[in-house]
Amino acid sequence: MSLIRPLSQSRDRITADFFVGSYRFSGSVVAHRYSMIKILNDKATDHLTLVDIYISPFNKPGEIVRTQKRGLLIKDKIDFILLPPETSQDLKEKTQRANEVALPVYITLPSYEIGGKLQMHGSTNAKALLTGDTRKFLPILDAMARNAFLPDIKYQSPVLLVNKTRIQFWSLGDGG
Amino acid sequence: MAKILVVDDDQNILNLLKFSLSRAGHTPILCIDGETGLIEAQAQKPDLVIADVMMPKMHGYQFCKKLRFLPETKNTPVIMFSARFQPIDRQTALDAGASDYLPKVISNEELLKRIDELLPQDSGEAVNELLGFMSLRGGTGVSTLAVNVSIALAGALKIQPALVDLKPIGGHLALMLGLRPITNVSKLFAEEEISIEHINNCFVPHSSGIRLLASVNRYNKNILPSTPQTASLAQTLQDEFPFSIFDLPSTILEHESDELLKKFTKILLVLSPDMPSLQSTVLAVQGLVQHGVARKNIMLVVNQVMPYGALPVEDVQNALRMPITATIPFEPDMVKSLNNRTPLLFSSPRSKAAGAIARLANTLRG
Repeated sequence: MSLIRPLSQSRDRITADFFVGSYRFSGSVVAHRYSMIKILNDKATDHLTLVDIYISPFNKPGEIVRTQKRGLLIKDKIDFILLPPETSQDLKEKTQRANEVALPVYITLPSYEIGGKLQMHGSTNAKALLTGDTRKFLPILDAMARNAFLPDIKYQSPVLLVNKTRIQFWSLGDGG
Repeated sequence: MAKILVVDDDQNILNLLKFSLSRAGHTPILCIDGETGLIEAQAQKPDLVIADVMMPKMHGYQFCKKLRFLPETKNTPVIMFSARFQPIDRQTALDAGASDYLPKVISNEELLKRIDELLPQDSGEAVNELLGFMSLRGGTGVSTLAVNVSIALAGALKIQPALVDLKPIGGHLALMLGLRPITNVSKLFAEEEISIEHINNCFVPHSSGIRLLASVNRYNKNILPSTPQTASLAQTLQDEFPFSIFDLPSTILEHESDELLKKFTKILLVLSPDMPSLQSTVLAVQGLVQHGVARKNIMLVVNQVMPYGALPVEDVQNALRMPITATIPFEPDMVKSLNNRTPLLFSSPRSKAAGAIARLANTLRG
């Protein structure tokens, strides 16, 4: 049993890394027991309220250059989100369904490329998923995000949430 | 038990740690931010510090850097923990002077175990360790282990161990550490008497804290480990450094190397779990004993360098009739770390092999 629980469990918060343009924001969303996916896909609000925010530039993502107690993130501007391991493992298990297949996916966003697996129905095609699916953020499983300008800077997570509206290019299947 | 300073802006976590540490027999000192943490650190001189990264006013990295400037805490082990969980975050913490970096989801048992590992050992009279890594069979990962164990020791103890590449030619330690040495061990052997000043001039520093004496880059028959100079080098290093690690050539037993070999406080014989390696290890133990090495100073390390088909470790132990000090599991990322010139403890710090290497380093600390 964990003594030190993640903040998401101890204070009804979800702590995550939000990648927006040239910055990495580490902060917490007060979740009121909703999942991160539900909060992100909630069309009633176009922003996320973050608390206890730690800001790092994209080229030095380990360094904290500023802290803010509270702030807003515009959902449409978020490129992708990394959830902490325990939360993402839980989400990964919920995302995987018996009648779906996990297909390799490669995505480019402004400044980042993402590789991983996308869980989808066998009959769904890539275009339908982008245009027909109502979710704003798609979960990418076993994901790795790499900075396009600084390829040594990379992030890994069991689940990464990518903003569909920020996708420039995407391709299903293994690269040739 | 130990006095442990805990710095976190989350009162719930402070309360949990207070309960857990007290129950384990430690005396917790709780602080809600880095500024009061620094004041308490100076006043109370804790044996170990646990600090959150994400704190207002002064974040954990700043707090850790300031601790390292205080005479009272410059050598105190510091565990940083955070909800930030990427390898770059761990590296940033280590660069700031932390001894270890743990995720906030760590279990109580794991945290207490890590605290015990990092607390200074009450060992009475300190003896500086001189460690030799060797194998008579090639391809068992001797150099890789020597590098990664050195990194683990540097990180855990906040020391700068000396690492010596004693391969007469073709040593790979500099390559594995991503270093391009402009000097090497041959410069030392050109001196009549090896002093610490000469050694300091030949060191190639690495960001982990390791100070490397790199292998020669051109063959020189005068730099064979049988020369009295290598024994003199070992003695000088032992006099000056708490840990000195030698990557020994597989030909070491073919030379008059008694004087050098007897100086090692521990010799780690690295073997892979296969029949040729078993045979070589039996011979190596016999050879070391004949060269005057005490059997109690010989430690066996099984390095599983192949993904399958290996002999069971129990069978290896039974065949050699000696205890196995450590078993390093097969790690697919090991080759990648070699090709990237980034040691495994940096490239895949949470891999099983990295964990096993860290535990081996902890065993070597006594």
